[in-house]
Amino acid sequence: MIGNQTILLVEDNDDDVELTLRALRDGLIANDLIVVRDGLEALDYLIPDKKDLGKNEMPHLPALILLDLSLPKVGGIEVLRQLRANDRTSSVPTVILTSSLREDDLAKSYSLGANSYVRKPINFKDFVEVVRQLGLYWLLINEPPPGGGFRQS
Amino acid sequence: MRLSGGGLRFRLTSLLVIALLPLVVVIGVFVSTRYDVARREGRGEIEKAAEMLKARHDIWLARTEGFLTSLSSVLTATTMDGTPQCDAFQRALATTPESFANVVVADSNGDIKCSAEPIPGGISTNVADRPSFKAVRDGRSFQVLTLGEGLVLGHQYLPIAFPWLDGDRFLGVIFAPVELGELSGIIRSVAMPEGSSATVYDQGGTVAARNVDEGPFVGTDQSDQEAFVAASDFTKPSSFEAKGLGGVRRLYATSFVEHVGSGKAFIILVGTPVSVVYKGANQLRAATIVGVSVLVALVVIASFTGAHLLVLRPISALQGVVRRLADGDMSARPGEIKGAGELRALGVSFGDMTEALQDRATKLETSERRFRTMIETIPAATFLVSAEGERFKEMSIQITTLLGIDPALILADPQIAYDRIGEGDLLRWRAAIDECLELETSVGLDIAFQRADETWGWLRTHIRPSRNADGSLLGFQGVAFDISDRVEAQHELAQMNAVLEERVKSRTAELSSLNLELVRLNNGLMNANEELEAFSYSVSHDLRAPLRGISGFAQLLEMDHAKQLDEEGLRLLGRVQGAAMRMGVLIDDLLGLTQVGKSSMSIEQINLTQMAHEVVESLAASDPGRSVKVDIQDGLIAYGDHSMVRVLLDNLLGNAWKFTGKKSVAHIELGASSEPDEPRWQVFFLRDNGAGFDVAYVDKIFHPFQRLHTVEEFEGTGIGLAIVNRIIVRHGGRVWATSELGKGTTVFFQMDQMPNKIESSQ
Repeated sequence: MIGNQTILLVEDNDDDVELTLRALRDGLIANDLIVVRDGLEALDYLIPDKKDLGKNEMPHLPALILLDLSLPKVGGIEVLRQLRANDRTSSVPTVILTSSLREDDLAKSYSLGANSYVRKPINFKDFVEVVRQLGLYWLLINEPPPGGGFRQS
Repeated sequence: MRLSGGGLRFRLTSLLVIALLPLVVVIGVFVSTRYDVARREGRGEIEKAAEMLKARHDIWLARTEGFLTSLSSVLTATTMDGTPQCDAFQRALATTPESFANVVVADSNGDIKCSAEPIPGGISTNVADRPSFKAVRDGRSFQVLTLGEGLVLGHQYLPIAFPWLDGDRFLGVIFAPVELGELSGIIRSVAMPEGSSATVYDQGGTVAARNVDEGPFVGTDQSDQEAFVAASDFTKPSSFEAKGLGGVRRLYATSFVEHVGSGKAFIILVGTPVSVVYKGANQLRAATIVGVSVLVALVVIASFTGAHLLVLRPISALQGVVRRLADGDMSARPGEIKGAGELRALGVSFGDMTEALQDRATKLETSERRFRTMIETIPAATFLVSAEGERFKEMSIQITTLLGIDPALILADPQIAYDRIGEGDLLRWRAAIDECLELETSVGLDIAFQRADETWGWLRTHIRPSRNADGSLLGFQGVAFDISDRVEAQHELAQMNAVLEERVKSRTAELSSLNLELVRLNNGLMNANEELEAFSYSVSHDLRAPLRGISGFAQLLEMDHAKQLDEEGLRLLGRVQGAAMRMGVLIDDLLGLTQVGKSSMSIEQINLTQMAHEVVESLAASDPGRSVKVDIQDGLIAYGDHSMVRVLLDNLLGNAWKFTGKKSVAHIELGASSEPDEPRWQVFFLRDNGAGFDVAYVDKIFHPFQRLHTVEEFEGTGIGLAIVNRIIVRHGGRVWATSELGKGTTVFFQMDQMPNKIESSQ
């Protein structure tokens, strides 16, 4: 188990959610995984409207966001744009995890500040390896930005 | 021009004569006063004589009247019964003065009653119609009448008549004719000044008496004579000058003998011929004229001679030099001038001037020669048009070269030149002459002309007004040069331009319609491409998710539940996974194909040799069991999009690697064909000794999903060469292949050798 920070998975496909969960488990990443099913839900979670919350009710930020691009309601690119535009969430490590390999999507993601862009392999073994390495790298090897407020002991 | 000596002399002399004029005037006034004095003196003498004569005649007339008065009294006293007593009459006549020629008495009827002398016609003659009778009867007064021929006497006499009255009663008339000799006696009794003559006229202008030279004049009617006419106009004694008897001009004095009954009974004129009156004055005048003439003549001679010696001779010398200079003899010099200082100085100055003139003339001549040479050397004709703008006054020899006509012919007849010019140009030529005269500037004009050999050419002319030193118009100086070559070249150019423009227009029209068509097609293609793109993307993307599910869950099934499955179940599960894997590759290849069509390209120089080595290394790494002989030619260079060319080589080398998999000695060769069809497009080849294929299917291999081998033989999706084809086509090149089953395949592809931008859309 690598620390106890949460991972936020933004994914609408049930199959992919289950496979991701399994991959994390097989990859020995035991962090809490929060799953949201569309872009709007992701934004509500990460940048809640202050009126809807009492003081000290701001949720803890995830240590890593795994973001799919093709999402209902609000697309992944737009979610990324809003995260990066917001002071609180602008530094949260965000990895694009998607089926798309379009140059457009690659270019836009990087220009908006994605930390990585990973294509979901079709072979499950490969997929497990990818997820395991992501978790290893972002949660253990990589040092998070200072004062982000999301690293919890 | 010759110096006029006479003119100068004349002027000099005239000046001197004018200086003498006051003297002449003074002398003239003096002479004139002499005439006045002579006239005054002469007049005084004759006036006195005229007065004297008048006095004598008055006395004579009074005496006559007295005698006749007493005779009348005697007759009245002796008349009886109205008949006069002739005896008493005769007695009374005894004391009759001898001055009367006769004395006759007529009664109131005009019948003569008594006569002192016998009457030829008898005593009973009636005189009632005689003027003298009528004058006395009507006037009842003493009458001195005009001279007439006496009825009784038969010769001329002065008729005098007196009324015979008895108180107031008219009884008759007494006639007493006077002999003219009586009157001559009176004149002679008065002494006349020397040379003067005295004449007595009756009131009708007949000469009654004269002191000298009486023969031709006495008794003649001189009433129309100038002197008498002038005198009869006076009412009192006067003096005047007039022409008198014998046509002689005289100074006259006049006086009148008047009588109550007959007014001016006599008119007395005393005249001295003017030659006598002015004799002294005339002599003085003559002497004066002679004197003045001599003086003037002397002055004229002196001035003529002096002028000649002192002025004319030196001036003539100078004039001679001037004439020689004018004739072009620049060496002419005046010698030393003798005489007056001014003329000597003039001579010296003149000498200096001729020196300067000669110097200038020499320079002018040199300059003139230089300019003439220049004018005749330049490749243009010069000419001078006369002031009236029609004829040519000068024309240089070059016109022969331009027109092929001798300038002498044109100078003789300008029409020869005008006939060579078109009508429009001739009008413009004349307008140009007017214009340059008006603006006083140079005006240019291009003129088409016909040469002597009937060909046409172009002249460029410039003309400007040329003026004499006094500003009057000399003519128009002009220059003309041949611009035929230039004009023809311009015409050709203009024609070519017109043709070119026409071509460009038609081509542009074609191109723009073609372009419209292209745009339309392109839009269509783009739409189709975009649709295909979206379709391919969504298909490949959306297909991947379920595929991942199939593959993932099959694997999980195998991992978690292998114990529940028998051998056959595990084999089938493996097939599921294999199929899913192949589908994944297929989808990835499809995505690659759409990616090739979509990506924008950035053209750069690519080292194909190096890139091929990299690809082979990665192939060898992924398949370490193979032993393949790879020959890659050094220095292969092409221009293209780096990532696309990498995909190209991945596919080509990957194919060669794959299809030589079953050869014991695999051989792959990449190189450039030695002689490219087009220098710009280098043809590369990739040769392998692999499985090869039947050339009958060669057209199929570059289309997607066309496979010539089974998956069992060689793995693959059939998309690789389609990707190769698209990449080469997008780079503007061509790809083709030759092959032989079992022997191997060679793929040829063209690539650009120039760094030009290749079309970057689909």
